[in-house]
Amino acid sequence: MNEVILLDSNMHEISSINIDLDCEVGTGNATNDFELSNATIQQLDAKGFYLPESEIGGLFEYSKMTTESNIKIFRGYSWRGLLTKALILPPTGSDYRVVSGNAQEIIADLLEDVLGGFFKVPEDAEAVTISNYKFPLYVNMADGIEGMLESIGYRLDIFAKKLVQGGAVQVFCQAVKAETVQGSFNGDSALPLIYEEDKMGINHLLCAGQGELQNRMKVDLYLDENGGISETQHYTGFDERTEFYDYSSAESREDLVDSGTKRLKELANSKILSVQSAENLDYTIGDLVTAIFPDGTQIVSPIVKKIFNISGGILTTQISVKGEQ
Amino acid sequence: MPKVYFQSSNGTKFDLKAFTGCKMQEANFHKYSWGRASTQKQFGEVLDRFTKDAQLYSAKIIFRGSVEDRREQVERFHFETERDITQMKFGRIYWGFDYIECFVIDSDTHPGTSPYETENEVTFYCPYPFWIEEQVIDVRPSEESIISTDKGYRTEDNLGYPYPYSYATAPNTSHFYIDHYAPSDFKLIAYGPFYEMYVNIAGNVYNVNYPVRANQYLTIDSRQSTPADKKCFVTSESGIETNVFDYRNPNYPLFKKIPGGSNLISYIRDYGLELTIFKERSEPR
Repeated sequence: MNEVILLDSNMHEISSINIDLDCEVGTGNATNDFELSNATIQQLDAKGFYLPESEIGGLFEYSKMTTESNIKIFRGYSWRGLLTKALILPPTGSDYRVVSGNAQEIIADLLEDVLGGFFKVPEDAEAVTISNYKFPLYVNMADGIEGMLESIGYRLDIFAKKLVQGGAVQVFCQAVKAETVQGSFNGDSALPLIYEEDKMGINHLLCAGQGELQNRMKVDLYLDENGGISETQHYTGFDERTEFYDYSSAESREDLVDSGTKRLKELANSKILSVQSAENLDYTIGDLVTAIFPDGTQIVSPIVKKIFNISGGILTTQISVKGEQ
Repeated sequence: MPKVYFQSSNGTKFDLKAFTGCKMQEANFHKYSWGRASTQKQFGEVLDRFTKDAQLYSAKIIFRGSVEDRREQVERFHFETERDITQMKFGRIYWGFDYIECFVIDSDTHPGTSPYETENEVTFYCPYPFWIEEQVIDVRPSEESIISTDKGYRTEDNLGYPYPYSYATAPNTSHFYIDHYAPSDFKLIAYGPFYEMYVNIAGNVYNVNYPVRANQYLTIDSRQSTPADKKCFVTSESGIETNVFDYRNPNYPLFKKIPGGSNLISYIRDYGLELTIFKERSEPR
């Protein structure tokens, strides 16, 4: 039975309660929010909730009630969602934020000024070294830290915990080593995987930029068998698949090549790894899924989304890996 | 044959076995059905969990006596059951030592087959579809034994007469026995004064670090139906209740059910405890 615990405005526990809950966390396009409904929450003047020592939790920032029911719907950002609403900025006088040192201390420094110091790093967090990591410009705090840790095979662990009786609940962030779950096609796997191989893609993109008619700027981009893109043709004859890319606002040939390359990657043959009905798994955001395709190709995709659902006291989870639609 | 009666939320009893006054003629309290949640597979399915819907019991109650007597009894029955509904407070059907919480949601009253009878066909609606038998274990300070009102080999005659049931194995440790096949919800009352309640029951620590003075008591109630602010609270001498859930020990589950069978209870016995076990069954014993 998974009972969540309600919190007051000072993050002190009010009581445990049985509620139905949906909570989605992850990087990129994950919503990082939750929705729950219950008639009792309002009476108790609760301001948030958490599931101890898990990433499930958040503060109520939206409510909705109808005249037909006394059940109120509450929504809010998950703990990770709050981190997505803060940005990592370059230091004054620098173009980028570049960090080196103990990742736990770097995370603590980044979080110090976020949401009034709401997040902490556990004192016993294991030290791990980062060297010259450059954050993307204006990346949000959650994705920025996750990206930094992904570069060294670690992930961001977020959990809420009550440390002392009568004390407030604290939300912690720390770097932990990413676990790897491995699967091979037709082989046993801890994770049921879908191996998708798309050979219906485009391997020749004719890109057209500024200019009129025959005077338009043109670049031919070609895909090779290793997934590389260049102006040298690889597939010919029956194997050639061509499409036109109209980018009339291209400012330069370099701009046209950059945009055309991105477009051709989207249209090219692809191998996609996705997770098939992965419920009740311990793997979480930042853990790595490695899969070996029938031709021996190995794809490694991090878990980027996890959806928690509590219904009737039963917790179920679903995960998605990067690249999954 | 066990005693069978309906008790409204304010305690008014209707003996459903009396041959004078009223008698339940038809009812089947010994029926139940489990549902199941499962995942379909190529061959069969994988069971995820069992489920159970709210229980409905149909019953026919015969009221006997003069017209005035019957009118008065029917009126009293409906007054009580309708008030339960308007106040959203459960009545209970008792079958021997077991009870189930219910509302009367359908009623059809009409003349009976005899001129001295009035028939009332009712439906009892039980949202929580389990019959409950309570076992009370009373642990007193500075006494070595603990007292239980559980069933053991009891008869109806010993109902309400606690008898020594468990024995002390050490100054602060005693055995008690729960005759049930599943872990059970409980209500634990600790009578002040004490600075901190710290009790180990069946290997789990139930710990609330909140001082309770003399004439105050702490209640921990694990039942799902208990309102969220009444699951861990202190009651003062004047009856004021203070929610102290925040002072639970986060390292141990405060509402962990107590397993059936032989159990140990241990703590520094300088204050008294009353532990009520709610043993749930699908049908009354």
